[in-house]
Amino acid sequence: MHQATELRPGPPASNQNALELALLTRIAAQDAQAMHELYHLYHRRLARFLMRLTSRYDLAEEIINDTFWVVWQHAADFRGASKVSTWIFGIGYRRALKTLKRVRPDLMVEESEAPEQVYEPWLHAELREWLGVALDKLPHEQRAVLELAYHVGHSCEEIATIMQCPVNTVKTRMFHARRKLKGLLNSLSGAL
Amino acid sequence: MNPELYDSDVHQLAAEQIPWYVNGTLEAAAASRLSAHLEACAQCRGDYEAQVRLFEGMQADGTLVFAAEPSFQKLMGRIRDGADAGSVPGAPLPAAPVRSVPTKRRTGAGIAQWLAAAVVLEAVGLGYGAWAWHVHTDSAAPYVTLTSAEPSYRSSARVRVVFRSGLSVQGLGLLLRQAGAHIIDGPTSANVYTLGFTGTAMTPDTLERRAATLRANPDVLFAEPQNAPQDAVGTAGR
Repeated sequence: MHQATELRPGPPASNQNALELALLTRIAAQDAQAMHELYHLYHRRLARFLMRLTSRYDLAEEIINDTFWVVWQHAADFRGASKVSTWIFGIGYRRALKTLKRVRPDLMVEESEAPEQVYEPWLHAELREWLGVALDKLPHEQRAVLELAYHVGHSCEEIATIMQCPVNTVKTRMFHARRKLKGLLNSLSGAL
Repeated sequence: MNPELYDSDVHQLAAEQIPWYVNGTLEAAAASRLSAHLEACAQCRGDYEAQVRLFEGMQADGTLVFAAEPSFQKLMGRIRDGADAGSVPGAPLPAAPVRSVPTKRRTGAGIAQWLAAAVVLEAVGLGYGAWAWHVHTDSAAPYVTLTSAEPSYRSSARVRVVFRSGLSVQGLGLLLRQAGAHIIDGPTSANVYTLGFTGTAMTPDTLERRAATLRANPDVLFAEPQNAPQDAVGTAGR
């Protein structure tokens, strides 16, 4: 049985983290070029993750820059208790929640209050459209777990750190997200 | 032990572990046990295969992402000005003192020096953009009237763009004519438009140059090639 991550390109995670730690060390010494490199390393991943959460480009850009403002200010304080990516995504996620509470309270529906919906993929002509629509309709906590796991590639424990919640909560959110996307998965199995 | 309960537990555990197995973060011993279970259990294997498809769909990133460099320049300007000192409350700090990097007193000198270099680079980039734009506009798109035959988009090359809000109709028309492009889809809910190009098929390099030329226009916030839409289970404009 082959894991899907065999398809994923890029350096091994440990090498990547070492590279990013080196950049953080330079950022702590006010190296703007290192900041430039780290920013560009994360921009696309963070942008996609934050646009999924906020549904707005302008907010995603604002949150990315808030996140890296914190990175610039606190790089010297980072002690390697987690991977650099976990730290940065954690900052970004918490900034996103604060921003959403301020400007998009409609998106802050708790999981328990969110209406249970079963999506019907056959109503949508294009699979790509359907995937986006279905993900957007998940409660933001479930959407964040799915994005962090399947797009960014974080472990269950890392996502718990990012979202500041117990590991079991991450598992529960993943379970509900998958259940709600079941209709989509049926569509994927037929279309791909 | 009740065998049915035992079986149920095995499947439940498999269901719980499959997402982390799929994304490659499940601990090795657990992954090995799960792999053996998936070989033997068709039901769980079906779940696993569905999750792989979802994973691959989400990996195929079709999201239109805004350009990083202008945002980075904004951030560095903000840092240089020091306007936001202390304005980001609740910044998370690391939990365990495993590793520390040296702290230096922050001054603006290093940033200013770096930004000066960045400005030079950007000027070169803008010069290239203007040149590319000029070269491209030399081959103007043919004039098309309302009664003309519908343009043929033989190439599957597409560029997805977001225009700056407030762009006038005249400005949009000029931009499209200069780019030799036509709006063929959009706007999505996120104001993403898809542009097509008439004429012969484009290589990925050519398409990337077209997108770069569009990006160089101040009225274009984002521009990304979409060369083979059927390959990307993406999320443009979400």
